[in-house]
Amino acid sequence: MIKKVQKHLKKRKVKVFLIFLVLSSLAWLIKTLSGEVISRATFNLEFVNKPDSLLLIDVSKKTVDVKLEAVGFQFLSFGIKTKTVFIDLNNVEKNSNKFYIPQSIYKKQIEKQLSNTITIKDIDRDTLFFNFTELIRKKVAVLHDLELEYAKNHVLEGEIKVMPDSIIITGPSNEIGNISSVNTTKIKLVDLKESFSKSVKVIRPKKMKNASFSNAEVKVSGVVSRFSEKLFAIPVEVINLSLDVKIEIFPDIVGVLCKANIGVLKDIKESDFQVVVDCNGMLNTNTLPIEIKKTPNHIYSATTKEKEVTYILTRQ
Amino acid sequence: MKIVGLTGGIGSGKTTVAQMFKDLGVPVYNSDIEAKALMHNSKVVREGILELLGETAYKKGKLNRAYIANKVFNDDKLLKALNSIVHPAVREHFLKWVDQQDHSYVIQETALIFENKNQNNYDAIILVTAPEEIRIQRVVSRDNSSKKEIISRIANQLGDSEKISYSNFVIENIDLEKTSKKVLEVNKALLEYI
Repeated sequence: MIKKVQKHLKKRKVKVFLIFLVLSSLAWLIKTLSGEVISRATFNLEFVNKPDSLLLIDVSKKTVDVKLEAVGFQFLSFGIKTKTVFIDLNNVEKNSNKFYIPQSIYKKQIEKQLSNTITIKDIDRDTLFFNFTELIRKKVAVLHDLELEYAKNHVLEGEIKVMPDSIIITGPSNEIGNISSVNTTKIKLVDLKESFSKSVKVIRPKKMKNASFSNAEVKVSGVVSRFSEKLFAIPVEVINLSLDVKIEIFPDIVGVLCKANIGVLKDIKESDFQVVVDCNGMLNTNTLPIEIKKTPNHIYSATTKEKEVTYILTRQ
Repeated sequence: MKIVGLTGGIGSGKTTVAQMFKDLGVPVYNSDIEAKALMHNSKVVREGILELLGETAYKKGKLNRAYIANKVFNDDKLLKALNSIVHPAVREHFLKWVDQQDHSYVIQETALIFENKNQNNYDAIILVTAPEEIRIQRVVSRDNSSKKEIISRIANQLGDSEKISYSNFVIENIDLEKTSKKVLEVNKALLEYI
C-alpha cells in the first residue's frame, strides 16, 4: 500500500497538485489571519498588591471568560503569550464585611494589559468577591536546638547567643495566636575547640500555612575556650551550730577542683572559696553534706572532691 | 441574614432562575405575587387603592386589574401614587418574611430594583438577562400580549447595559442547562462571600 502511494507521489501531476494545494491553503490561512477575528479565551487571574494587613483566603472567581476581537495573526502569538492577567487589589472595595471589585473596574484593568489592537467584546459580568482575614503581628522568642560536644579541656564560656533572639511572625490569629516561641533546626557540633557561629533555619510549625516570618534563619554562636584545672585545699566552715555544742568534722579541709581559663586560674587564691557544712541540715546520721558557698568570678566550675563530712558532737 | 435581589427585564426569565435557587433550598420572595396578594388581603392597601382609584378598583370584592392597569398605564402621577401605597406594604411584609427564614441568604425577586432606586436595600444583586428577541417571544407566548405592547414595556424599563453596572452577578438565561450551571456558581459565591 505504502509503496503504491510512494509510486503515485513520484508522478508529476500529483506533485503539481500537491504544490498548488499547499499554496492555496497558505493563501487561505494568510487571508483569514489578516482579517478581524473574534475569539473566546479564559484568563487566569493573579492578584497583586495584596493589602499588608489582610490575608487573601479565597476569591469567587479564579478565571474570567472573555470574547476578544483582533487581527488573526495577533491571536496566534496571544494564545501562547498571555494567559494570566493581573488584578490589582488596591481597587478592592469594602461594604460591611464584604470585599469586592466590580466588573467595570477589573475589566478596565484587564483591558490595560492587552495590546491596543485587541478589543474586549464581552467579559464575565460578575463582581469579584474576596475572602480576607485580618493579619496580626507577634514577636516570638527563637529557641536554639544545639547539641554540643567539646574537645578535651574545652568549655563554653557564657551562654549560647541567638541573633536575633526573637522574630516577628505575621499571620491570621487562628494560626499564630497561641504561639510564644519558635525553634531552630537541630544541629550537632562535635569536638569543639573553637568559638562557633552558625546560621540555622527557623522551623515553621506545620499549622502555620499562611504566616510569614521576619527571618527564615538566625545565627547561633558561642565562645569556646580551653580551660585548666587546679586543686585548692579549702578549710570547711561549720555554720548554724548551737552555742552549747562543740563539733568535730572529718575531714576539716577538702579539695576543691577549679576549672578556668589559665590566665584566670593563676590569680585565684584559697580565700576566694568558701566551703561550709550547715548544722541546720543535721539528720539522724553522722554526716553533713558539703556545700561551696563562694567561688571566684570567671571560672567554669568548682567541685569538691569529698561530698560530705562525718562529725562528732560534744556538749560544752 | 443577607438579602439578595433578583431582577431582570420583562421576559428575561426571573421566575425560572428564582425556581432554580428555590430548588437549592434558598428562600425566595416573589414581590409581584405578594404585592397582588396584599392588594387583595391587606386592609391598609385596599383602603389606599379605593381612596386613590375609586370603588371600581375592586369588582365583587376582587381587584379589578384591567381597570387599574388602564388607569395608571399612561398616568405617571397616578402610577407613582399607587406604588407609594403598595411598595411600602410589600417592603414591610418582606422584612417580616425575612425574619422567619433560616438560611444564610434570601432572595427577593422583583422587577424594578434599579428603576425604583432600591439597589442599596440589598447585599448583592443578581440580574437575569436574555436577548430582546427571545424576551419578546417568551412574553408573547406567555401573556398573549402583542409584540408592540411588549416592546413598549421593554422601552419603559432600564436597559440591561445600565443594570449590569449595578449588579454583582449576571445570569444570561438562554439555555436552561447553562443557566442552571451559572445558578450553582452564583449560589456558591453567595454562600461563601456575601
